[in-house]
Amino acid sequence: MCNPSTVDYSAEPAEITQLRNQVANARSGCCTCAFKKSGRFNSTGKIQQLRADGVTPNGQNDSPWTGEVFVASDGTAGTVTVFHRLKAVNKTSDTTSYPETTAVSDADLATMVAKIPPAIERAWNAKGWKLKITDAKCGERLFDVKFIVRMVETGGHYTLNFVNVPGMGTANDVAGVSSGRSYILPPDRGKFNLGDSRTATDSAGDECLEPHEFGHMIGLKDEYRDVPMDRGGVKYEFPDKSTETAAVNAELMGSMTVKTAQPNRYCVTIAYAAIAVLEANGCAVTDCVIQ
Amino acid sequence: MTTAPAPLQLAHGFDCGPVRVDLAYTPVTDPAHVSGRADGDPFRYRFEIRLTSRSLPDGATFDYQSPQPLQFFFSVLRRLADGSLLDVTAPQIDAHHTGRPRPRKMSFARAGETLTDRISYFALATIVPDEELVPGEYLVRIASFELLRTDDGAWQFVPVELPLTIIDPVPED
Repeated sequence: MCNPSTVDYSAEPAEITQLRNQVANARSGCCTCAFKKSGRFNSTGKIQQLRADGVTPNGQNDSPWTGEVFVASDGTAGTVTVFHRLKAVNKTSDTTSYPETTAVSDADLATMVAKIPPAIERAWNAKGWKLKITDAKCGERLFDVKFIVRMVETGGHYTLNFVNVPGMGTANDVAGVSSGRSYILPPDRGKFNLGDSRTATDSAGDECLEPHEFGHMIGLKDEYRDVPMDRGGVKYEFPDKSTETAAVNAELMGSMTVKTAQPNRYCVTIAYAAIAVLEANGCAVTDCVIQ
Repeated sequence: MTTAPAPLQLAHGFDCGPVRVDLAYTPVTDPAHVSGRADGDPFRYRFEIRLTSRSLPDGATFDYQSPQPLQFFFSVLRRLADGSLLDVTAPQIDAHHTGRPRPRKMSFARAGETLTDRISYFALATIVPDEELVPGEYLVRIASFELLRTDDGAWQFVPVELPLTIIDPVPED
């Protein structure tokens, strides 16, 4: 994209800068330090999509994803900060790869995509999840979970091709997918359609399309119950070994009638990521509960 | 940018009533193209289904089903050192996001015309994880499905197995 005048892509959130500074001083096993992991988070295998019978796994587990997770604590409480940089690529003129797309200027696209991070943050910070994490040395600590998303020019955790197709489109794109359909291709790519009525990039839609896609950007699966498609929801296994099977259509990772991320199960990949960050830095986590 | 010496090769052909169907593809490619991360023409490496009228009247419409999204039609198997095959197919995009296959109306404007459906190798990334698309020998299977429907009947795609070689990119001179 060209240099847009309306968006300052270079600015990293002050909160992230502060966390980076804290991480620089971290010591292994420290209970009052900040730790981080940046890059690929692999599938945990703790999320299984189910067939229509609601019991049999269909072989689809949580997807690998890319991002940055900070875990910071003062000894009794702390924060788990999930940071994603999204790079927008203007493909609205590339009718070879994306049939039916209509051109949008780089400047207009920059203005439109600037609405995506606030929409995602509103949806994913709405519940205000907490992780109660117990480990052998530091004891029980309560972490607030916070999601931060920014559009960037370079260095994106995800590269997103933006197209502008009315509705769902009628032709297939270069990946063989209906041209108007948005998707995430794990672990670090995706296609977003500006012409989808549910997008946050205009001023009129439901603002749930990109928050739904963000769920896939942290590894979650679609949890629709759809018998003709042989889908019977998703089974989640939590770090405390409890399980939940969700075969509902209304929530954000279903058909998006509920437009914010409400169920605790939607925080499960972040819980596992936070545990991985702590364990990679000398902590021995014995329990983690999403609240 | 790197290239692989891979011409399009005719690999399959059969008649669907009034329409002749031929399938060509590029049997050698590289990781950047099958993972959809290459620059340049996304259709440089591709499957190509060619439809030629045998006896269909000019302008007569028929329903054609392209084998897309790939997860409904394709599977990819890697040939291991002992000669056995490992199925590396794993849909990467949920069917709710890809949409279901939908036939489209087509017609021949004149006798001898060939209608071409191109499927980029970029699409393989939607059914095989990135880390599985490494140099080696593969078999791409396309299953049977209803390919064509006219007022007189419906015809199935004849299943095929296509050998595919993924090579390390060859630097340009």
